[in-house]
Amino acid sequence: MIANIIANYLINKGKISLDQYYEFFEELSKVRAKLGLIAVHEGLMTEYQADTVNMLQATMDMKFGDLAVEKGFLTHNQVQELLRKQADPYLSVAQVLENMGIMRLNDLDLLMKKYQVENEMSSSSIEALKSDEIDRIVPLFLPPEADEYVAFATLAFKTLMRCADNNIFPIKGFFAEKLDCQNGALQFVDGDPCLTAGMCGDGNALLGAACKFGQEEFESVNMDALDAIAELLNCICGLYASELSQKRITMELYPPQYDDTIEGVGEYKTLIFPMMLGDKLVNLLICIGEKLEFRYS
Amino acid sequence: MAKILIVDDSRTSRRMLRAILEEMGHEVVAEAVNGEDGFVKYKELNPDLVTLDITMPVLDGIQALSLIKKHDPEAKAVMITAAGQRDKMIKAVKYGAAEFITKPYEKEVVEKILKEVLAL
Repeated sequence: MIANIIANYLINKGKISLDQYYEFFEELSKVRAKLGLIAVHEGLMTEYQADTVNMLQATMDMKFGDLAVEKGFLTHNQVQELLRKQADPYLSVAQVLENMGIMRLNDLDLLMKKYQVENEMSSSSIEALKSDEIDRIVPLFLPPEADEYVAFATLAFKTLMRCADNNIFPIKGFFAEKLDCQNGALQFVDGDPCLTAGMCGDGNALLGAACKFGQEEFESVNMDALDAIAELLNCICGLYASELSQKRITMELYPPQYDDTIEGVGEYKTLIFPMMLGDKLVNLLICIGEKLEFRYS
Repeated sequence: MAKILIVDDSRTSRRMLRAILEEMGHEVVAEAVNGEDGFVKYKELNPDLVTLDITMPVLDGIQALSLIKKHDPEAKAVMITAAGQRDKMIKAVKYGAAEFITKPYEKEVVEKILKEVLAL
């Protein structure tokens, strides 16, 4: 997900074109961070030293690590540690950006600092983002008083990532008593406390998720597409109920509701957790303790 | 191959299950959108097997199962459920459900369970 966050930040800042955006994801699937880049990131080598070893590699049939040890830049133990870090998601992103000639690691680090300031995040939050661990990332995007919503939001995010769109990234969540939207699905889950979950959007925002989960090419977000969204929501709520049942808490799922002619959802305190699914803004809704209903004009 | 009735309020769910069943060579004789509709179609078509979604409006899967079993004690019913419906699954067993399938469907799981139930 760190790749999605960075790529979208870069495109929003005009640092990459749409073509480069797509190329970035294509390259990402092929690339592992090179040892030199990781060594610079870890502060074990300077960029100049890494470039020197890279240039030597052009003339000598030796691995980067062996050459760096021979030149006295790294120890054997450091090389082993760097090899273990090759799958690091942040460094893989850095490697792709460097390969594409967009920016070097130092520039990416500076960009992340700018992102940190703009989003009022702590350094530990940025480290959590770089880890690419959903359980650490989702809470960063929820309001401070949303503790009891974290478990559902995280589970929903993971399920959406798996079943709806791998190209997903969160936006800052907030509490509101109503949300204006044109279509969506809601599901009431009875228990102590009860909960209403929802997925809503405008226009065709939910189309991608409906097509992917429903395994059908819908032309627009009509009632059939919303039926697929409702089923996706049903799976999320089922997984949540399943987790709670391990703590001997019983939840009862009610049939999901969906409609393509709504004005919004309300009227109780609800966590609105916006996210980008591909290039579409979708809202996940979680209301604990009340049954949400659609609003009509 | 078996004649099967699918009872589920979700069009998406019915469509996905139908695709798997037909690929297995079964004939889906009808679809029903709630438990009441399912019971009516069961009596009318007398299928070899019925799949019943648990969470449905009008009559849910367990209520429909109860009616179907009263009408035909030999009925083979497979319950369809989202995860986390443990209590309802226990209740369904009491009413005579043969097996459970959890959504979203995994083709291999559906195939295995149906083979077992149809062999009973």
